[in-house]
Amino acid sequence: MRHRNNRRKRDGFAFPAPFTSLVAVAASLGLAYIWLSCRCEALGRDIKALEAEGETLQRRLLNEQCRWTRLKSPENMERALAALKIVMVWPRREQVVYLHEEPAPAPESGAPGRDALTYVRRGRIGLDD
Amino acid sequence: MTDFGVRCRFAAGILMLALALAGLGVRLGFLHLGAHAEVRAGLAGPRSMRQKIDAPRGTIYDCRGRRNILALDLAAKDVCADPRFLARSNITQEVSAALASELGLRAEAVREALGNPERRFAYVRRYVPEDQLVALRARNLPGVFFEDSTVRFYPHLGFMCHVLGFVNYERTGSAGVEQVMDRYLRGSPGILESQVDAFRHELYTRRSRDIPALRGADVFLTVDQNVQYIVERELDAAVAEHRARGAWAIMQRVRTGEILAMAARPAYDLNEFRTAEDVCRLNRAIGHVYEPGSTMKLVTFAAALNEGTVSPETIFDCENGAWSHAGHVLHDFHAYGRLSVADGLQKSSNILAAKLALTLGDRRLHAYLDAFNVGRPLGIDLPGEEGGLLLPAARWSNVSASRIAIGQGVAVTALQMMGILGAIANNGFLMRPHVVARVEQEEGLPLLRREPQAIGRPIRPETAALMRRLLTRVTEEGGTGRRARVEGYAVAGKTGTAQKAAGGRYIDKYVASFVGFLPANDPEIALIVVVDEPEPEHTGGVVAAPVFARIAARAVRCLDMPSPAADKTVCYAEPRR
Repeated sequence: MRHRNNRRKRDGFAFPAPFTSLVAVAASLGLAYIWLSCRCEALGRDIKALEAEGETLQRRLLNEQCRWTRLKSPENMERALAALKIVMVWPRREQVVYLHEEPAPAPESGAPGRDALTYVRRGRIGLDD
Repeated sequence: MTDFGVRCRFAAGILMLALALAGLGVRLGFLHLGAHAEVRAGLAGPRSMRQKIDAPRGTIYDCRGRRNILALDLAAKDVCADPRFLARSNITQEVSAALASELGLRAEAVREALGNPERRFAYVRRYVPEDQLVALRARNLPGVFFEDSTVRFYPHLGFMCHVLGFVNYERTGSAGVEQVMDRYLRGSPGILESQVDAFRHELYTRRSRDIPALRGADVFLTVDQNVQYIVERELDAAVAEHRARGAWAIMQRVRTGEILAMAARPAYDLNEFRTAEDVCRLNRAIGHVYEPGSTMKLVTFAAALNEGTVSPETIFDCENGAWSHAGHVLHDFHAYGRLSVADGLQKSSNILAAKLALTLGDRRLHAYLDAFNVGRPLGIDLPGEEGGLLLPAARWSNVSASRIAIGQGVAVTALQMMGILGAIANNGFLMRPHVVARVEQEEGLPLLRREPQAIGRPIRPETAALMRRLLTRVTEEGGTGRRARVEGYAVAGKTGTAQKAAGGRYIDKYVASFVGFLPANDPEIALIVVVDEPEPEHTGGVVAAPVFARIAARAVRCLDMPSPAADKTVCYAEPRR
């Protein structure tokens, strides 16, 4: 009995290799878990911040849309023209040139090509009258 | 100490430690596995959050799509304060005065709101648009803070107020399109369930349920913002010019029943609907019934011509302006001798119209009134539509037919009168009016699309065509509606001057109206203008017809309506490069 103890003291204590591997794997998994957890927390914070920023931008967009709508309302346009002393009249129908966008013909139809913009105008245009 | 003693003490220590750990383990097991739901709930409660996410309400646009916004949800702030802090700092007076001046409130009202020093929270003003708070934020008042909120905002204030309606504090549509389309506009709220940290900040990784709010659908109206503006401006001018009690007008596309404009005066600011009087909130165009006067002759003449009891050339004796029938005397505004049916309509002879009604008889006249939907709502997609008043033929007296023929003893809304004229303009088809064109989700998914719907066809197309020709003469020389003419377009229409009744008799107050359509030979739009109690002039031809003309002259440009006088369209196609 004494002989066996003496041999142990002489060789020193050593973890068995499988146990060491197990501890190393467990430690690695633990560290990976902690890293992933921290990463998730960080991403969560980022997402929250972006959500808040998105809401802020949405609010700003609504406010700008509202302001733009008010700016181009007929009443405001009329007021602005009056303030700038600009007198405008509606053009007569024959003074208006209309640009209509037409779909291009299908390639297999063999029809002669036409410009996408077809100019449609009324007879006797008097743009400068 | 002996080796045995050491071992005993070591074993005892191990045993105690094991017991302690076992005790803790058992307690832990009880807490986690035992029936301690209230304990667990007590622990989980403060750490969990459940938040209802309000759905943004849909936007309302005019007929030109997403360019012209009429109503939208706007980011706003609630201005709040801490009365206790203000009281302890002894600055309640100064802060109240500053808040009152910046927010346009009465200083006493603000002081009253902040007067309770026991409270930690008080609203100073709710739903303030953010751009109105720039100056207040810059002052950085102590004890004053802002909370996010959303407010239903109408960028054009009182513009189109009777059509749009408003949303109350519970965010429920309470008038107009907001009420009728509430189920589409409202959207669906979302839910957020998660856990929070000690500072009540949400832990994103513990979010257990996240159902986003479904934004309300967008509503597109048939109303044209530019035409509506023209109508409202002219109504304002008419009310001011004629010192009228009120005025209202409707413009409709005759072939589809689409309402292009609808306005009434007095009006109110939609953003301040709480302070508006009931009389201002009433949409008189659909909710106010009045005796129409001579415009009702449209039904009388159309019925007689449709039944073939007369032709346009049939001559009637107009009794030189006074005709006694069934013991009651009926007068014309101007005295006439013998007039043809065509001339009687042009000059709006009461006596001729009454005699026409007698050729029809009570039952047939009532049947035509019923066919033109008099006495029943037309079913417009707006709340508060009245159906008018029409007694059953069995309850008519000896003179009822002769009086109803000229628009007395019967009451209609402006929308109904517009419907009658619209049927004449639309080859006899009476169309159901509507203000909502379609409903779409934000990404363009259509939820509702309103198609033109015919309610009935009270007269034949030939009769309608004949009536169009006769009504065109009303705006020609010698007609009562000369002032309704529009350059470049033939206008057909009818004037109306109705005496108002009060206390069982007619009084010296009038309702002046003009209802017409153009172009007369190929009608596109119909328009009715009604002016309530104009002074000193009170006839439809003098008061309402010029308003009609001014509105129509600009509307035809806005709507790009072809003038029969203009040249044909010529197309030039360029070859593809």
